[in-house]
Amino acid sequence: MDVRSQIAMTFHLDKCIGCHTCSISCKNIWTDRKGTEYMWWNNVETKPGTGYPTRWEDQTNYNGGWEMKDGKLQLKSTSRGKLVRNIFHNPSMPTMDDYYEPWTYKYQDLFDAPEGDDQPTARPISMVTGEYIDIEAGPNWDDDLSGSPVYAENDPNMEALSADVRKQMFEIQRLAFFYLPRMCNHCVNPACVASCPSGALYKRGEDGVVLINQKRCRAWRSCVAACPYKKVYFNWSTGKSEKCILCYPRLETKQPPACHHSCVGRIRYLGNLLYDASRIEEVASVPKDQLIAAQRSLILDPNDPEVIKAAKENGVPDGVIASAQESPVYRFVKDWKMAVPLHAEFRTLPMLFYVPPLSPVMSGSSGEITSNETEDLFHDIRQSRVPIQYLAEILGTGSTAPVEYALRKQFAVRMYRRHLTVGDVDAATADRALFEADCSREEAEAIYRLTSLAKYEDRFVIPPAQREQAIEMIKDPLEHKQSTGFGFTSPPMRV
Amino acid sequence: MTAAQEQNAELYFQTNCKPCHSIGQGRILGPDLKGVLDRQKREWLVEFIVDPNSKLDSDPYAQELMAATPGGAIRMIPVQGMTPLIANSLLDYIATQSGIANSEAQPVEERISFTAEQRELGLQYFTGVENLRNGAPACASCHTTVGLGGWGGGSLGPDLTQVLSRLGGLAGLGGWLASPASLTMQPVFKEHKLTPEEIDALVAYLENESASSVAAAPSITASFFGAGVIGAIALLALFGFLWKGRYTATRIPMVEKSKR
Repeated sequence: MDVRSQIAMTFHLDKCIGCHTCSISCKNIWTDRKGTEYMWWNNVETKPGTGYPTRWEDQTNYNGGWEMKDGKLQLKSTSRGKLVRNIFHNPSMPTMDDYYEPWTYKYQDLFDAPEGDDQPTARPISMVTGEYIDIEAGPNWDDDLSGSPVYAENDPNMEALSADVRKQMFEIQRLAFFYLPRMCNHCVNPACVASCPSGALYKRGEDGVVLINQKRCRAWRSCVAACPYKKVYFNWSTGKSEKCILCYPRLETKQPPACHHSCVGRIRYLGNLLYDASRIEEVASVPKDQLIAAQRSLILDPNDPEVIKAAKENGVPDGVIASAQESPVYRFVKDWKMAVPLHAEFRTLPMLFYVPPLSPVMSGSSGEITSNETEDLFHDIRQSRVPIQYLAEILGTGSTAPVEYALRKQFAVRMYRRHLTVGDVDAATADRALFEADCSREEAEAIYRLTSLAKYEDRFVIPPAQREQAIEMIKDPLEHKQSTGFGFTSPPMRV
Repeated sequence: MTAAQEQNAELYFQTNCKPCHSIGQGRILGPDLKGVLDRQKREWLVEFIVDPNSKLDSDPYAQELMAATPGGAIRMIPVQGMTPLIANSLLDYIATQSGIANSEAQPVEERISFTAEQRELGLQYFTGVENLRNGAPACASCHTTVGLGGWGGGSLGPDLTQVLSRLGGLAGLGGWLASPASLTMQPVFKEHKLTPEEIDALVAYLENESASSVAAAPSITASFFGAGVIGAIALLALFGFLWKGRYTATRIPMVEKSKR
C-alpha cells in the first residue's frame, strides 16, 4: 500500500445557480494577462450544451484521455511513435475558434467620435490581433440555452439518447437545463502529465496538485491535446502552457481556492483524501462500467488503523491524516456515494466529484393552463425533466445506476426534511424513501447539514501545508548554505 | 645577377607570369614581354608590376596596354607578395631571355589537335563528374555553357560558351587555366592547380563549345522560378491529400451543419 494524500473537491450541482462568480474570481486573479485572455481555468457550462471548448467531451477529434488498447492503458493522443511524427504539428488541438477569439470594445470611440447624427458605438476588437471582429462565439455562448438549438442539440452526450427522449427534452414545457462548473480535476492518473515530452508537468507529491513548470515547458502542447477536459491552455504570448494551479499559494496559507471561496451557492467542498497510489494503473484499466466503483475503492478510509499506519510509514504527516478524517469530500464520495467523477470513462481518475442535480418539478400544459403534472410536490426521479440517461452519459460512464443512487438519496433527504419541518409528508413515506435510497435517518441528517447548513470550516478542510517537507524530499535546503547567500535563483530579467 | 638569382627569377616567372605572358612567342593574354625594357622605363615597369591597379586606373600607357588585351578589358592582377626587388630581378630575367630567340616551349595551339575523348573528359571535369586531381572545384559550380543542357551550371561566374575568343584563343585559355588571373578565381585555384592533362581536356571541351552558333546559354531564372512554384503547389496538394482526414475545426462546421 502506497498511501498518499490528494486534495479533492466536490461540486454540488443541485445548488449551482450558474452565476459564473467562480469563473470571474479565477479570471481576475490568474488569467487577465497577455496571452491568457481566452483561458478560463474555471468555467461554467450549461447542460445540455457543447461547452468550452466546443464539444470538448467528444474525443473523436480532440483525442483526449486514456484508452484500453491491446489490454494496455494508453494515451489516445500520443505515444512515443506518434510524438516523433507529430512533434511540430499536433493534429488534435482545439483551434482558437473552438475556444473563442477573446475580444474587448473600442470604448475610446465613445469619447472621441466627432459630433454627428448617429450615436457613436464601441465596436468589438480582437484582444489577440487588435483588429475589428464579428463576435460569433464565446466561452459561454450557449449559456442558459441561448445558443439553442444549434448548441444544445450538438451536445455529445445527446448521441446516446433515443430520438424520442431527445425530442422530449426540447419540448418547451419540459425544456430544462443545469449548470456544470468545470476546472482542472487534478487527476490521479493525469493524461497531461503523461503526455509531456519535456517533463514539465508534474503532480505535487504532498497534495497531488497538477502543475506546469514554466521553465521546463517547451511549447510542444501535447498536454493540451492529451487532457480530455481541455483544461490545459497554451499561452500564445509566453509560448508556455498554463493550467489551474488550484490556487496553491492560497492553499498553503489555509485558504480555499478563489473559485471555491467566492461561490455564492456554496456548492463547492474541498478536502484531502488518502488513496493507494500503487493501484492507480489497475484501477484506471478496469472495464468502463466498473470505473466509478473502482475509483471509489482507490480512496482509503482515513479512520482505518491500517491505513493510518501505512500512511505514517509513507511519510504522510499526522496533520494531513487528521485533515483527511474531516474531509467533506470523503463523506460525499465514499460515505454517502453521492458524488461521482465527471466522465470517468476518460480514465484519468479525476479528483473532482459532482453531486448530480435534481431536476425541477415537472409541469405540463393542457390548453392554456400550465400546472404540475405530478400529484405531490415530489415526483418520481425517473421522470425528471433532465433524463437520468443524459446525466448518466456525463456522470455515470453511461450507466444510470450511480447517478440514480445519488439522486434517490437527495430525494429521500428532501422527503425526510419535509416531514420534519413542514409535516406534509408522513413519517412512513419519508422512511420508505430513505429505505429505498439506502439511507438512515442519521445519514440523512448529516447530508442535510453538510448540504444546507455547512459553514466555511465544514466546506473547506485544508490540510496543513507540507511544501518545505516536500522540497526536502528531493532537494537539500542546506546545500546552498554559505555558498550563494543573498541573490537570485535565476538571473534577473531586464525589461 | 647571380646564377642562383636567375634560377629563382625563372621559377617565379614560370609560376606567376607565364600563364599570360610569353617572351618572344607573341601575345597570350598579356603582351609579349620580349624587349619590354626597350619600350618603357624600368622605374615605371617596377611600379606597374608591384601595383598594377593604380597604373591601370590613371596611366595612359597602362590603359593602352589594357585596351590591347582580348576583349579590351583584362586587367593585370597584382601578384601577392610582389616587391620592387622581385620585380627588378624579373625584369633582369626578361632582359636576359629577350636575347635568346624562341627559348620557350611550343605554344598550346601548335601542340595538338584535340580528340573526342579529351572533349568528353573535359565535359566531365567541367561538370564535376570527374574530380579535379588537386581538389579544385568543378567549373560548373560557378559557370555554365550552352552544351551543358538542363538547367546548366552556375551563374555566379560568366558564361563560358565563347570564352575562347574572349581570352584570345587556345594559348590564352590554356594560360588562364594554368593560373586563373581574376580576383575571384586566383585565391581558389592557387592552392589547387589544374594539371596539364586537365587543362588540355578543358580547353578541348571549351573549344568545342565555342563552335556553337549560340553566344551564351539561355537564362534559366524564369523557368527555375516557374518550376519552384509548380513544385510547391504539387507538394501542397500531396500533403493535402495525405492528411486530408486531419482535424481542422469543430465549432464552425457544427454551426454550418445546423443552419442547413
